[in-house]
Amino acid sequence: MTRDLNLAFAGPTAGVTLLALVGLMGCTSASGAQGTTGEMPRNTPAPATAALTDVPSKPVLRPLAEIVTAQGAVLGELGSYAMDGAGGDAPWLPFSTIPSVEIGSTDTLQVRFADSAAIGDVSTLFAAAADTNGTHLHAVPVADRSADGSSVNVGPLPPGQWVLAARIFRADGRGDGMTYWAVTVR
Amino acid sequence: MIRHIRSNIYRSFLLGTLLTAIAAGSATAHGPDPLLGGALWAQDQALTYQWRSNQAPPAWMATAIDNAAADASLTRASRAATFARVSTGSSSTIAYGEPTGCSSAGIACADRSGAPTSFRMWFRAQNYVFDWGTLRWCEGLATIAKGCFDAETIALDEFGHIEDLNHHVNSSNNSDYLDAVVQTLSRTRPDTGWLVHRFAPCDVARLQLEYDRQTASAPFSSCLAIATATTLGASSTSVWVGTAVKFTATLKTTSASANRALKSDPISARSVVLQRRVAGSTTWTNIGAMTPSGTTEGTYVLTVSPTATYEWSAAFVPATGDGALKSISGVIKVTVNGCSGTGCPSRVVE
Repeated sequence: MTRDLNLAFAGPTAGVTLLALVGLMGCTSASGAQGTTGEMPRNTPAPATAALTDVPSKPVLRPLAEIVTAQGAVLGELGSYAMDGAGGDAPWLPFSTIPSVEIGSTDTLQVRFADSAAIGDVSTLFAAAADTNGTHLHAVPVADRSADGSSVNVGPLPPGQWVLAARIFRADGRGDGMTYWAVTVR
Repeated sequence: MIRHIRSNIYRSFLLGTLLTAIAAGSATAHGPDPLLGGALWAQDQALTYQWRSNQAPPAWMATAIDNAAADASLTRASRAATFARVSTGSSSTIAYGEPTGCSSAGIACADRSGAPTSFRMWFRAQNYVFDWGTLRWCEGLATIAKGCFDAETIALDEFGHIEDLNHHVNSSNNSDYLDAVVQTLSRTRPDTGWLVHRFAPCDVARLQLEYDRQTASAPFSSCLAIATATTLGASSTSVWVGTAVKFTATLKTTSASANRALKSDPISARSVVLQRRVAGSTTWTNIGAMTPSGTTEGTYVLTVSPTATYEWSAAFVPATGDGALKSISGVIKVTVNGCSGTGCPSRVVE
């Protein structure tokens, strides 16, 4: 998967699955790379001599989300999160820097945890691509939930280019995360 | 035609948005911050921290972090933990620069899984390059610029995490952003909320729920709606006319589990009014403000000499901004017996 993944769909009613993955991530490396993405980070490299003793040494579970379609998965970019007593903070992530998806104007997105954990609350927002700070946010409609509580359908979005941010809570109370995608709605 | 179709799409979208707000579930806006998770600190636990070896911040960042620690301690409005830096001997560390425990997009992060013994906190370094841009801490700039993060504000957010605060759940348009410092979206200068050096009402609300208020007279966070219970007693419920009756009201939070650490707390320094009505009437008349007891928290007294039989109650109406709910006591009937001629008690001085 790459950050530039841009998925096209057969028609305006093509279904899109937004899969919220709780990624079992390796500890964030000194370079800041996310373990689940396998992406090459563009972040500042860490000093080679830095000690690692206070940084988590075992895999850290982070509530990262992913959009999954019939064509494959689109891992989002994790912003602020809380999980198992730890939390991190990030700004609104701009359109040009996050994984992209293209959908039809009537498409809805299915959200679920990859480890089949039940979803608690879901708060899904979007802002125009030009709104780089997420100043003007709007709620995304939640269409329905699956009977077993493992997924939620959200959408549709109006035509245009948007940053979609889904804050998804685990039903077991272990945490939540805000994950971002650049969504183009035809 | 196209315009008409688009109009319908947008109407559908707006309707959907409205339904979203209705169906949003329990992630309620303008409520106390959610819990981050893990063990609580002890009430008023004095936590110390030291710079992580080889990752001490530059002076401007050290000042910002230490100021945030003081901000957290001074504005907790609760019995949450306090923070102070020591040079050595602390089991808790704060680090500046790499490596960190933060996610790839994170400017700062915190780990309280060591509670109630220790915590850890990390801050990315000035000029760290993210996918989304280059990190600028305002305090580290020679000339403050648009788009920088106030390190003290972000550090206060991190200390909030250490206290056990998760990110506040805002309304969908973030119009309540200033209700909490512990926010999902970290903002930069000059956006609303970029510079906040005290815990906000919904941060304090969670701190009070978990750690209790500092005193019985302290206000409840305006982000709370704490159920209260007022009770009323009288020194006598059958007196001769003119006899002094001492009414004593008690005001507490209810024992409801939702009140968490605040449950069954006495509430002092509030306005509690004694009121009466003719038996069977529905119209109450205020008789006077009850005086807070000087000895027992949450107790209010007023002595009156009733001239007729009335039903009495005490009413607590919270002041604006006090996150407690109104409560009215049950009714006490005080029967006043008339008397004339010999054998009656002497007139009682009111």
